[in-house]
Amino acid sequence: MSAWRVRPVNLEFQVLLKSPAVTGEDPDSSRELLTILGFREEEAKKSVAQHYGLLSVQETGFLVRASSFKGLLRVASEYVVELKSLNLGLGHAVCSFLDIEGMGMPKCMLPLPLKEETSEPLKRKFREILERERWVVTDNDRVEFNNYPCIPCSMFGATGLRSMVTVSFGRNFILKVEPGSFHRLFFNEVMRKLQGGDVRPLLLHALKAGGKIALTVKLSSWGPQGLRSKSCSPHALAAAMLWLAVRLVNAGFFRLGRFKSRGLGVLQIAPTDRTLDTLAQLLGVKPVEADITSRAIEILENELRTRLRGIDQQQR
Amino acid sequence: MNSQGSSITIDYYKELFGKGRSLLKNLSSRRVKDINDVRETVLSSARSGHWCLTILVYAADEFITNARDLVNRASGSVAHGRQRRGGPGPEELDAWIAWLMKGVLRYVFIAGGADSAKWRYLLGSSRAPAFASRASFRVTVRDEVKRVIEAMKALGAKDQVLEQRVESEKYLLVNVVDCKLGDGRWASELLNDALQQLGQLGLRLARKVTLGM
Repeated sequence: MSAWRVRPVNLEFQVLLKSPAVTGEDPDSSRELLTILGFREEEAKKSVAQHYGLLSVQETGFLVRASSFKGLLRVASEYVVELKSLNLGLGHAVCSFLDIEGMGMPKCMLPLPLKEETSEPLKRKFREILERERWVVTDNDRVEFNNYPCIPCSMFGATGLRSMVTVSFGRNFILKVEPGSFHRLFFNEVMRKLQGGDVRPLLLHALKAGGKIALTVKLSSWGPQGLRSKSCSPHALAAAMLWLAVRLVNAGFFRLGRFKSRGLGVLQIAPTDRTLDTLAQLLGVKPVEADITSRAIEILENELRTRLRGIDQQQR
Repeated sequence: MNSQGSSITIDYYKELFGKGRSLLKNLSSRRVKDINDVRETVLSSARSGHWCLTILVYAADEFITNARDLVNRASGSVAHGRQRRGGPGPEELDAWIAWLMKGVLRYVFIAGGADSAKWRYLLGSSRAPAFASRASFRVTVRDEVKRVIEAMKALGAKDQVLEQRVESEKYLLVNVVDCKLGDGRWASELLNDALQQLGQLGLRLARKVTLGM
Protein backbone atom coordinates (compact mmCIF):
# COMPACT_ATOMS: atom_id res chain seq x y z
CA MET A 1 0.00 0.00 0.00
CA SER A 2 1.30 3.47 -0.80
CA ALA A 3 2.50 5.49 2.12
CA TRP A 4 0.07 8.19 1.07
CA ARG A 5 -2.92 5.85 1.37
CA VAL A 6 -2.35 4.18 4.70
CA ARG A 7 -5.60 3.59 6.51
CA PRO A 8 -6.12 6.00 9.42
CA VAL A 9 -6.15 4.52 12.92
CA ASN A 10 -8.61 5.55 15.61
CA LEU A 11 -7.54 5.27 19.23
CA GLU A 12 -10.30 5.67 21.80
CA PHE A 13 -9.71 6.69 25.39
CA GLN A 14 -11.81 7.36 28.45
CA VAL A 15 -10.69 10.48 30.27
CA LEU A 16 -11.58 10.60 33.94
CA LEU A 17 -11.36 13.96 35.70
CA LYS A 18 -9.59 13.16 38.96
CA SER A 19 -9.85 16.73 40.18
CA PRO A 20 -11.85 19.77 39.05
CA ALA A 21 -10.66 21.42 35.83
CA VAL A 22 -10.93 24.82 34.18
CA THR A 23 -9.97 25.03 30.52
CA GLY A 24 -9.87 27.48 27.66
CA GLU A 25 -10.64 30.73 29.42
CA ASP A 26 -8.60 33.87 29.57
CA PRO A 27 -9.21 36.21 32.53
CA ASP A 28 -10.86 38.95 30.44
CA SER A 29 -13.40 36.62 28.82
CA SER A 30 -14.10 35.07 32.18
CA ARG A 31 -14.77 38.45 33.77
CA GLU A 32 -17.06 39.52 30.92
CA LEU A 33 -18.94 36.25 31.05
CA LEU A 34 -19.55 36.48 34.77
CA THR A 35 -20.68 40.09 34.44
CA ILE A 36 -23.21 38.98 31.83
CA LEU A 37 -24.34 36.22 34.18
CA GLY A 38 -25.16 38.87 36.76
CA PHE A 39 -22.14 38.94 39.03
CA ARG A 40 -21.19 42.27 40.54
CA GLU A 41 -18.07 43.78 38.98
CA GLU A 42 -15.83 43.28 42.00
CA GLU A 43 -16.93 39.65 42.25
CA ALA A 44 -16.39 39.03 38.56
CA LYS A 45 -12.87 40.41 38.83
CA LYS A 46 -11.82 37.72 41.22
CA SER A 47 -13.58 34.82 39.61
CA VAL A 48 -12.72 32.36 36.88
CA ALA A 49 -15.32 30.43 34.94
CA GLN A 50 -15.20 27.43 32.72
CA HIS A 51 -16.26 28.50 29.23
CA TYR A 52 -19.99 28.31 28.75
CA GLY A 53 -20.72 28.18 25.07
CA LEU A 54 -23.37 29.90 23.09
CA LEU A 55 -22.67 26.86 20.95
CA SER A 56 -23.71 24.47 23.66
CA VAL A 57 -22.05 21.07 23.89
CA GLN A 58 -24.45 18.34 24.96
CA GLU A 59 -26.88 19.29 27.68
CA THR A 60 -24.26 20.62 30.03
CA GLY A 61 -23.89 23.91 28.27
CA PHE A 62 -20.16 24.39 28.72
CA LEU A 63 -17.34 24.02 26.30
CA VAL A 64 -14.25 21.91 26.61
CA ARG A 65 -12.04 22.16 23.60
CA ALA A 66 -10.51 19.03 22.12
CA SER A 67 -7.48 21.15 21.26
CA SER A 68 -6.83 21.46 25.00
CA PHE A 69 -6.37 17.70 25.12
CA LYS A 70 -4.19 17.75 22.03
CA GLY A 71 -1.99 20.40 23.64
CA LEU A 72 -1.74 18.29 26.76
CA LEU A 73 -0.68 15.22 24.79
CA ARG A 74 1.79 17.26 22.76
CA VAL A 75 3.52 18.85 25.72
CA ALA A 76 3.77 15.49 27.50
CA SER A 77 5.14 13.92 24.30
CA GLU A 78 7.75 16.65 23.95
CA TYR A 79 8.82 16.01 27.49
CA VAL A 80 9.13 12.27 27.18
CA VAL A 81 11.09 12.51 23.91
CA GLU A 82 13.49 15.12 25.31
CA LEU A 83 13.97 13.22 28.57
CA LYS A 84 14.62 9.97 26.76
CA SER A 85 17.15 11.66 24.50
CA LEU A 86 18.98 13.27 27.43
CA ASN A 87 18.82 9.93 29.19
CA LEU A 88 20.54 8.23 26.24
CA GLY A 89 23.21 10.93 26.13
CA LEU A 90 22.05 12.15 22.72
CA GLY A 91 21.48 15.79 23.66
CA HIS A 92 18.44 17.84 22.79
CA ALA A 93 15.88 16.18 20.55
CA VAL A 94 12.89 18.54 20.63
CA CYS A 95 12.80 22.00 19.07
CA SER A 96 10.89 23.61 21.92
CA PHE A 97 13.81 22.81 24.25
CA LEU A 98 16.42 24.46 22.06
CA ASP A 99 18.10 27.44 23.63
CA ILE A 100 16.56 30.16 21.52
CA GLU A 101 14.08 32.95 22.06
CA GLY A 102 10.61 31.58 22.68
CA MET A 103 11.88 28.57 24.55
CA GLY A 104 9.02 26.21 25.24
CA MET A 105 7.30 26.82 21.93
CA PRO A 106 7.60 24.51 18.89
CA LYS A 107 9.81 26.05 16.21
CA CYS A 108 10.18 23.59 13.35
CA MET A 109 8.91 24.91 10.04
CA LEU A 110 8.76 23.55 6.53
CA PRO A 111 10.36 24.37 4.25
CA LEU A 112 13.38 25.23 6.35
CA PRO A 113 14.49 28.74 5.34
CA LEU A 114 17.53 28.56 3.10
CA LYS A 115 20.65 30.40 4.22
CA GLU A 116 20.15 33.21 1.77
CA GLU A 117 16.54 33.60 2.93
CA THR A 118 17.38 33.83 6.59
CA SER A 119 17.60 37.57 6.77
CA GLU A 120 15.54 37.77 9.94
CA PRO A 121 17.84 37.53 12.95
CA LEU A 122 15.62 34.99 14.71
CA LYS A 123 15.41 32.68 11.70
CA ARG A 124 19.14 33.01 11.18
CA LYS A 125 19.83 32.11 14.79
CA PHE A 126 17.47 29.15 14.56
CA ARG A 127 19.26 27.91 11.46
CA GLU A 128 22.63 28.33 13.17
CA ILE A 129 21.46 26.35 16.19
CA LEU A 130 20.09 23.56 14.00
CA GLU A 131 23.48 23.31 12.29
CA ARG A 132 25.38 23.58 15.55
CA GLU A 133 23.29 20.75 17.04
CA ARG A 134 23.77 18.97 13.69
CA TRP A 135 20.05 18.32 13.33
CA VAL A 136 20.57 19.77 9.87
CA VAL A 137 23.86 19.26 8.03
CA THR A 138 24.69 21.35 4.98
CA ASP A 139 27.37 20.10 2.63
CA ASN A 140 27.67 22.33 -0.44
CA ASP A 141 24.34 21.91 -2.22
CA ARG A 142 23.31 18.92 -0.17
CA VAL A 143 21.21 19.36 2.96
CA GLU A 144 20.80 16.41 5.29
CA PHE A 145 17.93 16.43 7.77
CA ASN A 146 19.02 14.24 10.68
CA ASN A 147 16.45 15.39 13.18
CA TYR A 148 14.29 17.85 11.36
CA PRO A 149 11.44 18.20 11.89
CA CYS A 150 11.86 16.86 15.42
CA ILE A 151 9.73 13.90 16.52
CA PRO A 152 6.86 15.82 18.20
CA CYS A 153 6.63 18.26 15.27
CA SER A 154 6.66 15.31 12.85
CA MET A 155 3.68 13.82 14.65
CA PHE A 156 1.71 16.82 15.92
CA GLY A 157 2.49 19.11 13.02
CA ALA A 158 4.49 22.26 12.46
CA THR A 159 4.29 25.29 10.24
CA GLY A 160 4.04 23.77 6.77
CA LEU A 161 3.51 20.21 7.96
CA ARG A 162 0.03 18.95 8.66
CA SER A 163 -0.54 17.18 11.95
CA MET A 164 -0.78 13.41 11.82
CA VAL A 165 -2.65 13.38 15.12
CA THR A 166 -6.24 14.61 15.35
CA VAL A 167 -8.03 14.76 18.66
CA SER A 168 -11.81 14.86 18.94
CA PHE A 169 -14.49 13.92 21.40
CA GLY A 170 -16.46 10.72 21.21
CA ARG A 171 -20.17 10.89 20.55
CA ASN A 172 -21.21 11.17 24.15
CA PHE A 173 -19.81 12.01 27.50
CA ILE A 174 -19.50 8.66 29.18
CA LEU A 175 -20.44 10.13 32.52
CA LYS A 176 -22.10 13.49 32.72
CA VAL A 177 -19.50 16.17 33.34
CA GLU A 178 -20.97 18.79 35.62
CA PRO A 179 -19.77 22.25 36.44
CA GLY A 180 -19.51 23.32 40.03
CA SER A 181 -18.29 26.36 41.91
CA PHE A 182 -15.88 26.56 44.79
CA HIS A 183 -13.42 28.96 46.24
CA ARG A 184 -9.72 28.93 47.01
CA LEU A 185 -7.82 30.96 49.59
CA PHE A 186 -4.08 31.52 49.40
CA PHE A 187 -2.06 30.44 52.41
CA ASN A 188 -1.69 34.05 53.55
CA GLU A 189 -5.47 34.53 53.21
CA VAL A 190 -6.12 31.44 55.32
CA MET A 191 -3.90 32.91 58.00
CA ARG A 192 -5.48 36.36 57.75
CA LYS A 193 -8.89 34.75 58.12
CA LEU A 194 -7.78 32.79 61.17
CA GLN A 195 -6.53 36.03 62.68
CA GLY A 196 -9.91 37.64 62.14
CA GLY A 197 -9.12 39.57 58.98
CA ASP A 198 -11.41 39.94 56.00
CA VAL A 199 -10.53 38.06 52.81
CA ARG A 200 -12.05 37.66 49.40
CA PRO A 201 -11.37 34.19 47.97
CA LEU A 202 -10.87 33.28 44.34
CA LEU A 203 -14.12 31.84 43.03
CA LEU A 204 -13.78 29.08 40.45
CA HIS A 205 -16.52 27.70 38.23
CA ALA A 206 -14.94 24.46 37.10
CA LEU A 207 -15.79 21.05 35.78
CA LYS A 208 -16.37 18.81 38.76
CA ALA A 209 -14.14 15.84 39.50
CA GLY A 210 -15.52 12.45 38.57
CA GLY A 211 -16.75 13.23 35.07
CA LYS A 212 -15.69 11.05 32.19
CA ILE A 213 -15.09 12.20 28.64
CA ALA A 214 -14.73 10.03 25.55
CA LEU A 215 -11.67 11.04 23.56
CA THR A 216 -10.75 9.88 20.08
CA VAL A 217 -7.21 10.24 18.81
CA LYS A 218 -6.97 9.67 15.08
CA LEU A 219 -3.65 8.88 13.42
CA SER A 220 -4.13 9.90 9.81
CA SER A 221 -2.24 8.72 6.76
CA TRP A 222 1.24 10.10 6.99
CA GLY A 223 2.42 11.33 3.59
CA PRO A 224 6.14 10.99 2.85
CA GLN A 225 7.52 8.76 5.62
CA GLY A 226 10.87 10.57 5.86
CA LEU A 227 9.12 13.61 7.23
CA ARG A 228 7.59 11.58 10.03
CA SER A 229 9.92 8.80 11.14
CA LYS A 230 13.19 7.13 10.17
CA SER A 231 13.35 3.78 11.92
CA CYS A 232 9.77 2.47 11.86
CA SER A 233 6.35 3.30 10.49
CA PRO A 234 5.02 6.72 11.51
CA HIS A 235 1.95 5.10 13.08
CA ALA A 236 4.13 2.91 15.28
CA LEU A 237 6.23 5.90 16.38
CA ALA A 238 3.12 8.00 17.06
CA ALA A 239 1.51 5.17 19.02
CA ALA A 240 4.69 4.66 21.07
CA MET A 241 5.09 8.33 21.84
CA LEU A 242 1.42 8.86 22.70
CA TRP A 243 1.35 5.81 24.93
CA LEU A 244 4.36 7.05 26.90
CA ALA A 245 2.91 10.56 27.06
CA VAL A 246 -0.31 9.17 28.49
CA ARG A 247 1.76 7.41 31.18
CA LEU A 248 3.18 10.78 32.22
CA VAL A 249 -0.25 12.44 32.22
CA ASN A 250 -1.63 9.62 34.36
CA ALA A 251 1.32 10.01 36.71
CA GLY A 252 0.17 13.58 37.29
CA PHE A 253 3.14 15.38 35.74
CA PHE A 254 0.94 17.04 33.16
CA ARG A 255 -2.49 18.38 33.89
CA LEU A 256 -5.27 20.03 31.93
CA GLY A 257 -6.25 23.67 31.81
CA ARG A 258 -5.61 26.41 34.32
CA PHE A 259 -4.69 26.47 38.02
CA LYS A 260 -2.75 23.27 37.71
CA SER A 261 -0.54 24.08 40.65
CA ARG A 262 -3.68 24.42 42.74
CA GLY A 263 -4.51 20.78 42.16
CA LEU A 264 -6.83 21.26 39.21
CA GLY A 265 -6.82 19.33 35.95
CA VAL A 266 -5.55 15.94 37.12
CA LEU A 267 -6.62 13.32 34.58
CA GLN A 268 -6.59 9.59 34.14
CA ILE A 269 -6.55 8.60 30.47
CA ALA A 270 -7.44 4.94 29.95
CA PRO A 271 -7.55 3.16 26.60
CA THR A 272 -10.57 1.07 25.68
CA ASP A 273 -9.98 -2.67 25.20
CA ARG A 274 -10.22 -2.23 21.44
CA THR A 275 -7.64 0.56 21.53
CA LEU A 276 -5.30 -1.61 23.58
CA ASP A 277 -5.56 -4.25 20.85
CA THR A 278 -4.91 -1.64 18.16
CA LEU A 279 -1.88 -0.25 19.98
CA ALA A 280 -0.51 -3.75 20.52
CA GLN A 281 -0.98 -4.50 16.85
CA LEU A 282 0.77 -1.28 15.79
CA LEU A 283 3.69 -1.99 18.10
CA GLY A 284 3.81 -5.73 17.43
CA VAL A 285 3.28 -7.03 20.96
CA LYS A 286 0.57 -8.67 23.07
CA PRO A 287 -2.22 -6.37 24.29
CA VAL A 288 -0.76 -6.12 27.78
CA GLU A 289 0.06 -2.68 29.17
CA ALA A 290 3.53 -3.63 30.43
CA ASP A 291 4.49 -5.15 27.05
CA ILE A 292 3.17 -2.13 25.17
CA THR A 293 5.18 0.22 27.40
CA SER A 294 8.41 -1.77 26.97
CA ARG A 295 8.00 -1.88 23.22
CA ALA A 296 7.09 1.82 23.07
CA ILE A 297 10.30 2.71 24.92
CA GLU A 298 12.28 0.50 22.55
CA ILE A 299 10.74 2.13 19.46
CA LEU A 300 11.35 5.64 20.75
CA GLU A 301 14.95 4.85 21.68
CA ASN A 302 15.62 3.32 18.25
CA GLU A 303 14.18 6.37 16.52
CA LEU A 304 16.24 8.75 18.64
CA ARG A 305 19.42 6.76 18.02
CA THR A 306 18.74 6.70 14.28
CA ARG A 307 18.25 10.44 14.24
CA LEU A 308 20.91 11.51 16.74
CA ARG A 309 23.52 8.80 17.33
CA GLY A 310 25.54 9.72 14.25
CA ILE A 311 25.49 13.29 15.45
CA ASP A 312 26.56 12.29 18.92
CA GLN A 313 29.54 10.28 17.61
CA GLN A 314 30.66 13.13 15.36
CA GLN A 315 30.49 15.60 18.24
CA ARG A 316 32.45 13.32 20.52
CA MET B 1 -8.29 14.22 65.71
CA ASN B 2 -5.78 15.21 68.31
CA SER B 3 -6.85 18.75 69.09
CA GLN B 4 -3.58 19.52 70.85
CA GLY B 5 -1.54 18.46 67.80
CA SER B 6 -3.77 20.53 65.55
CA SER B 7 -3.33 23.57 67.77
CA ILE B 8 0.44 23.20 67.72
CA THR B 9 0.36 23.11 63.94
CA ILE B 10 -1.82 26.18 63.65
CA ASP B 11 0.43 28.04 66.09
CA TYR B 12 3.38 27.05 63.95
CA TYR B 13 1.66 28.32 60.80
CA LYS B 14 0.82 31.58 62.56
CA GLU B 15 4.42 32.04 63.65
CA LEU B 16 5.62 31.32 60.12
CA PHE B 17 3.11 33.75 58.67
CA GLY B 18 4.05 36.50 61.14
CA LYS B 19 7.77 36.17 60.42
CA GLY B 20 7.15 36.14 56.69
CA ARG B 21 4.91 39.21 56.71
CA SER B 22 7.45 41.27 58.59
CA LEU B 23 10.20 40.32 56.15
CA LEU B 24 8.13 40.63 53.00
CA LYS B 25 8.59 44.39 52.79
CA ASN B 26 12.35 44.01 52.52
CA LEU B 27 12.20 42.17 49.23
CA SER B 28 13.55 44.26 46.39
CA SER B 29 13.46 44.43 42.62
CA ARG B 30 16.70 42.46 42.53
CA ARG B 31 14.45 39.44 42.49
CA VAL B 32 13.91 39.43 38.73
CA LYS B 33 17.63 39.63 38.01
CA ASP B 34 18.32 36.85 40.49
CA ILE B 35 15.71 34.61 38.92
CA ASN B 36 17.20 35.25 35.50
CA ASP B 37 20.58 34.20 36.86
CA VAL B 38 19.06 30.99 38.23
CA ARG B 39 17.35 30.39 34.90
CA GLU B 40 20.70 30.65 33.10
CA THR B 41 22.19 28.17 35.55
CA VAL B 42 19.32 25.77 34.96
CA LEU B 43 19.69 26.08 31.19
CA SER B 44 23.39 25.27 31.32
CA SER B 45 22.53 22.41 33.66
CA ALA B 46 20.06 21.11 31.08
CA ARG B 47 22.68 21.40 28.34
CA SER B 48 24.96 19.20 30.43
CA GLY B 49 22.18 16.64 30.81
CA HIS B 50 21.63 17.44 34.48
CA TRP B 51 17.92 17.52 34.15
CA CYS B 52 15.14 15.03 34.92
CA LEU B 53 11.74 14.55 36.51
CA THR B 54 11.56 13.54 40.15
CA ILE B 55 8.61 12.51 42.22
CA LEU B 56 8.81 12.63 46.00
CA VAL B 57 6.19 10.68 47.93
CA TYR B 58 5.48 11.59 51.55
CA ALA B 59 3.37 9.62 53.98
CA ALA B 60 1.21 12.47 55.17
CA ASP B 61 -1.86 11.32 57.09
CA GLU B 62 -1.16 13.54 60.08
CA PHE B 63 -0.31 16.54 57.94
CA ILE B 64 -3.45 16.20 55.83
CA THR B 65 -5.66 15.78 58.88
CA ASN B 66 -4.25 18.93 60.44
CA ALA B 67 -4.36 20.86 57.19
CA ARG B 68 -8.01 19.91 56.68
CA ASP B 69 -8.79 21.31 60.09
CA LEU B 70 -6.94 24.50 59.26
CA VAL B 71 -8.75 24.98 55.97
CA ASN B 72 -12.14 24.18 57.46
CA ARG B 73 -11.63 26.76 60.17
CA ALA B 74 -10.67 29.41 57.64
CA SER B 75 -13.30 28.62 55.04
CA GLY B 76 -16.30 28.02 57.28
CA SER B 77 -17.68 31.51 57.11
CA VAL B 78 -16.18 32.84 53.90
CA ALA B 79 -18.80 34.34 51.66
CA HIS B 80 -18.22 34.03 47.97
CA GLY B 81 -20.30 35.37 45.15
CA ARG B 82 -23.91 35.66 46.25
CA GLN B 83 -24.04 32.32 47.93
CA ARG B 84 -22.90 30.89 51.18
CA ARG B 85 -22.05 27.30 51.44
CA GLY B 86 -20.60 24.76 53.81
CA GLY B 87 -17.06 23.49 53.79
CA PRO B 88 -15.53 22.07 50.64
CA GLY B 89 -15.93 18.38 49.78
CA PRO B 90 -13.10 15.91 50.39
CA GLU B 91 -11.65 16.11 46.87
CA GLU B 92 -11.73 19.90 46.84
CA LEU B 93 -10.09 19.91 50.23
CA ASP B 94 -7.27 17.66 49.06
CA ALA B 95 -6.61 19.82 46.01
CA TRP B 96 -6.71 22.90 48.19
CA ILE B 97 -4.32 21.42 50.76
CA ALA B 98 -1.85 20.47 48.04
CA TRP B 99 -1.92 24.05 46.81
CA LEU B 100 -1.56 25.50 50.30
CA MET B 101 1.63 23.48 50.67
CA LYS B 102 3.25 25.76 48.13
CA GLY B 103 2.18 28.79 50.11
CA VAL B 104 3.62 27.29 53.27
CA LEU B 105 6.95 26.63 51.53
CA ARG B 106 7.00 30.15 50.14
CA TYR B 107 6.66 31.50 53.67
CA VAL B 108 9.30 29.06 54.91
CA PHE B 109 11.91 30.62 52.67
CA ILE B 110 10.74 34.17 53.27
CA ALA B 111 10.69 33.63 57.03
CA GLY B 112 14.20 32.21 56.72
CA GLY B 113 15.28 35.78 56.02
CA ALA B 114 16.52 35.25 52.49
CA ASP B 115 14.77 35.90 49.23
CA SER B 116 16.32 33.00 47.42
CA ALA B 117 15.73 33.14 43.70
CA LYS B 118 16.00 29.37 43.62
CA TRP B 119 12.77 29.14 45.53
CA ARG B 120 11.06 31.62 43.26
CA TYR B 121 12.19 29.58 40.30
CA LEU B 122 10.83 26.38 41.82
CA LEU B 123 7.53 27.67 43.16
CA GLY B 124 6.82 30.17 40.40
CA SER B 125 6.52 33.89 40.17
CA SER B 126 3.94 36.00 38.43
CA ARG B 127 6.60 38.25 36.89
CA ALA B 128 6.97 36.40 33.59
CA PRO B 129 5.70 33.20 31.98
CA ALA B 130 9.24 31.80 32.08
CA PHE B 131 8.90 31.78 35.85
CA ALA B 132 6.11 29.22 35.87
CA SER B 133 6.16 26.80 38.74
CA ARG B 134 8.49 23.80 38.45
CA ALA B 135 7.03 21.89 41.36
CA SER B 136 3.53 20.67 41.94
CA PHE B 137 1.88 19.05 44.92
CA ARG B 138 -0.88 16.49 45.03
CA VAL B 139 -2.69 14.68 47.77
CA THR B 140 -3.54 11.11 46.88
CA VAL B 141 -4.42 7.70 48.26
CA ARG B 142 -2.08 4.73 48.40
CA ASP B 143 -3.40 2.81 45.39
CA GLU B 144 -2.90 5.78 43.15
CA VAL B 145 0.64 6.22 44.42
CA LYS B 146 1.32 2.62 43.47
CA ARG B 147 -0.01 3.20 39.97
CA VAL B 148 2.07 6.34 39.55
CA ILE B 149 5.25 4.60 40.67
CA GLU B 150 4.59 1.59 38.43
CA ALA B 151 4.08 3.91 35.45
CA MET B 152 7.27 5.82 36.23
CA LYS B 153 9.25 2.61 36.64
CA ALA B 154 7.92 1.38 33.33
CA LEU B 155 9.31 4.53 31.74
CA GLY B 156 12.72 3.69 33.13
CA ALA B 157 12.60 5.59 36.39
CA LYS B 158 14.98 4.93 39.23
CA ASP B 159 12.89 4.05 42.25
CA GLN B 160 14.80 4.79 45.40
CA VAL B 161 12.87 3.35 48.30
CA LEU B 162 13.89 5.43 51.28
CA GLU B 163 11.28 4.41 53.72
CA GLN B 164 7.88 2.79 53.58
CA ARG B 165 4.95 3.14 55.90
CA VAL B 166 2.28 0.94 54.47
CA GLU B 167 -0.37 1.61 57.06
CA SER B 168 -0.77 5.24 56.01
CA GLU B 169 -3.81 5.95 53.88
CA LYS B 170 -2.92 9.29 52.31
CA TYR B 171 0.16 10.57 50.58
CA LEU B 172 1.51 13.88 49.39
CA LEU B 173 3.06 13.64 45.94
CA VAL B 174 5.54 16.33 44.93
CA ASN B 175 6.44 16.42 41.26
CA VAL B 176 9.59 18.36 40.50
CA VAL B 177 11.20 19.36 37.24
CA ASP B 178 14.58 18.46 38.66
CA CYS B 179 17.77 20.29 37.82
CA LYS B 180 20.94 21.53 39.43
CA LEU B 181 20.53 24.95 40.94
CA GLY B 182 23.92 26.59 40.93
CA ASP B 183 25.62 25.25 44.01
CA GLY B 184 25.50 21.67 42.77
CA ARG B 185 22.33 20.88 44.66
CA TRP B 186 19.30 19.38 42.97
CA ALA B 187 15.92 21.09 43.13
CA SER B 188 14.39 17.98 44.70
CA GLU B 189 17.01 18.07 47.47
CA LEU B 190 16.15 21.66 48.23
CA LEU B 191 12.43 20.86 48.46
CA ASN B 192 13.00 17.73 50.49
CA ASP B 193 15.18 19.55 53.00
CA ALA B 194 12.52 22.21 53.48
CA LEU B 195 9.76 19.64 53.89
CA GLN B 196 11.83 17.65 56.37
CA GLN B 197 12.37 20.84 58.37
CA LEU B 198 8.61 20.99 58.75
CA GLY B 199 8.83 17.83 60.83
CA GLN B 200 6.01 18.89 63.10
CA LEU B 201 3.62 18.78 60.15
CA GLY B 202 4.03 15.00 60.14
CA LEU B 203 5.55 14.53 56.71
CA ARG B 204 7.79 11.53 56.12
CA LEU B 205 9.53 10.79 52.84
CA ALA B 206 8.35 7.39 51.61
CA ARG B 207 9.64 7.09 48.04
CA LYS B 208 11.77 8.98 45.56
CA VAL B 209 11.43 8.21 41.87
CA THR B 210 13.52 9.81 39.15
CA LEU B 211 12.86 9.73 35.43
CA GLY B 212 15.67 10.78 33.16
CA MET B 213 19.41 11.04 33.70
